[in-house]
Amino acid sequence: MDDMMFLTFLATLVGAAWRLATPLIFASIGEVFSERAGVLNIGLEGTMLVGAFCGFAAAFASGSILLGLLAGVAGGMLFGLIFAFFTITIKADQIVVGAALNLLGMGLTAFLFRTYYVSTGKGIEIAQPVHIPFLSDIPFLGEAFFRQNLIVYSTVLVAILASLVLFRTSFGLTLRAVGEHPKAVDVAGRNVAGYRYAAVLVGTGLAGLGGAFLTLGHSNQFVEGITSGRGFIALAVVVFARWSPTGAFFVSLLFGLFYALQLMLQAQASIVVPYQVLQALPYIMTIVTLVVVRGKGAAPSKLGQPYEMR
Amino acid sequence: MNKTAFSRRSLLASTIAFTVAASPLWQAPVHAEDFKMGLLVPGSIGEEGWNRIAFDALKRVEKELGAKISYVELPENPAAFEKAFRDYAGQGYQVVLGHGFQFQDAALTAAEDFPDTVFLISSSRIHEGKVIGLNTDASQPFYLMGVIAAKLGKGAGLIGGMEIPPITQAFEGFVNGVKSVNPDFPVSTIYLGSFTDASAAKEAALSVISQGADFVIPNANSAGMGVIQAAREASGGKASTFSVYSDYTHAAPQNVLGTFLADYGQGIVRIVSGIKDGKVPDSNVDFGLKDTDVIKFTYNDAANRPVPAELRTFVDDVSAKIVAGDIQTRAK
Repeated sequence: MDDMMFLTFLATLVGAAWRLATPLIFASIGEVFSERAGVLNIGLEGTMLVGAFCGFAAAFASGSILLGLLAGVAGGMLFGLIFAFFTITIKADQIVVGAALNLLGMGLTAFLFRTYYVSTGKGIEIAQPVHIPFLSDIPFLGEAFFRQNLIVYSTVLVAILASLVLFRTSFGLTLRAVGEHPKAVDVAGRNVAGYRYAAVLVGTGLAGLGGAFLTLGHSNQFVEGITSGRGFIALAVVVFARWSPTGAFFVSLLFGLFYALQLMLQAQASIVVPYQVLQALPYIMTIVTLVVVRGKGAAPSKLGQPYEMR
Repeated sequence: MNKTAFSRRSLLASTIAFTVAASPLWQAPVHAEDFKMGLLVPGSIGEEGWNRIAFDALKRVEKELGAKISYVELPENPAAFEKAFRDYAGQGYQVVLGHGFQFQDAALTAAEDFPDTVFLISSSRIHEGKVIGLNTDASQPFYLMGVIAAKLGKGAGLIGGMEIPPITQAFEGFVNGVKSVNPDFPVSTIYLGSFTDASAAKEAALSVISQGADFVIPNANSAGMGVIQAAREASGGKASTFSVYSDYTHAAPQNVLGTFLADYGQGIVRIVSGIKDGKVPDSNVDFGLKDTDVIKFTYNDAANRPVPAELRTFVDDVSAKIVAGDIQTRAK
């Protein structure tokens, strides 16, 4: 590979990494909210699928990407409402409900898709990359950073906003307190269940958005199981990122980078590493980090535990 | 009273249970000269896909050949394979199709005791007596695509779902087709490790396009739609692709240069029709370009760079040589 080729390779790699990271960023930041409030929602995969399907269905019917994105968020939140009802109101086991929602999401979207979308023809017109004057035309850098669509750019905004809300507002403080010491919040006269509902809805709304990005901002069709495990990777991202929204943003990017890298390295005939090794990289990385970055972590102390009011 | 009602109900229930459990056995009395075909599928025929293909073929055998048909679903139940074969053969079924490679061993064992029954096995290359493997050789149409890509393009990327024989063999055919035209033509292969991840498929295709390829060919079931989308978007929509196994030209009418359709069900119907007329295949059956009713390769004239007429003539010539056996599309 000569230098020019290498620069092109790097530019494509970074661009692809950001696109592949986008659904992970949305879903993992959402899950940070949920887990900070003490609710472990492992139903992300199913929620993202519902978001991907609702987004596609709405955009297919209306032709509007914006409506599609809203439908994706709404679908995710509706799904989250089921989760919240069972885990917060009825106090069912969060893992069991989450697992059930994953199965429901996969089955339901596959069923609806087969029933109503036998042929989607050309699919939908996805969100187009925005051309930023000057910036998009910079050689290599333009390709890497400035030829994405608005949904991809919005990940930066979401990360900053999430960080502000969680650490600089009264709502964020109470939300975190609900995950650390719900009794204190209860004694102070705030509604623990209400905050947990809010956290779950923010989380599943963002997960729905992440799913909707797949069908509205990346591929132009819904495919059964299109999330392909991204919901589970987002769960790992949250732990890896020590329950921080900005951390989730960068860890997601790292996963996106590895994912893009393994796809691109496979195409390089000069590289003799078996591609299975490359495919395993993100997972190996997760295990290594979990081992290295351990100790008394930032995990919310009441994570996964329902709050029993007296 | 209650007790009687209960026992009647349980009698009814057990009768139904018995008939369902023994469904291959339970058949209306048929005359010995009737032509009968049985089918063993490894899953539900209610789902679109592999098992449905066999069931649809069985229904066509019933309709077109006037055969008596019966099928049994054996999901994850290898212990029952041999018994199911024996049940059918024992009742004088002339043909039994085991729909999948996994049925091969059970058929070989059962066949020893039933010399009059033909056992067809899908996705298999076996030929032992009347146990006959049926297979679709995708390397042949892929060889033609390789010839076209090498004649028209600058480089090609192959995006596969997983590294499994049906896919690696098809890709081998493509590479051999490319080499026959231009040994230096760059071809890169990427396996996604998934048949559903359309996003990864799209990024894989975009990356090979960024490295200079202008042909991207999917072989990854529904994830392949991402490759089509990449061809539509990248480099101003100038990249080309092919529609494989089923027709999705409509998804990218500018970029799909041709379509390879595989109608395996038609292949089954034809082989069974031959057996009915007393023509049992004397080798395993590999459906290829010679079987024009099973494998079809067509062009899309509306593409932004349609395959030119002289190249089509050339491809027809190559196709004829493959049919004649003068060109091997992959190592046997």
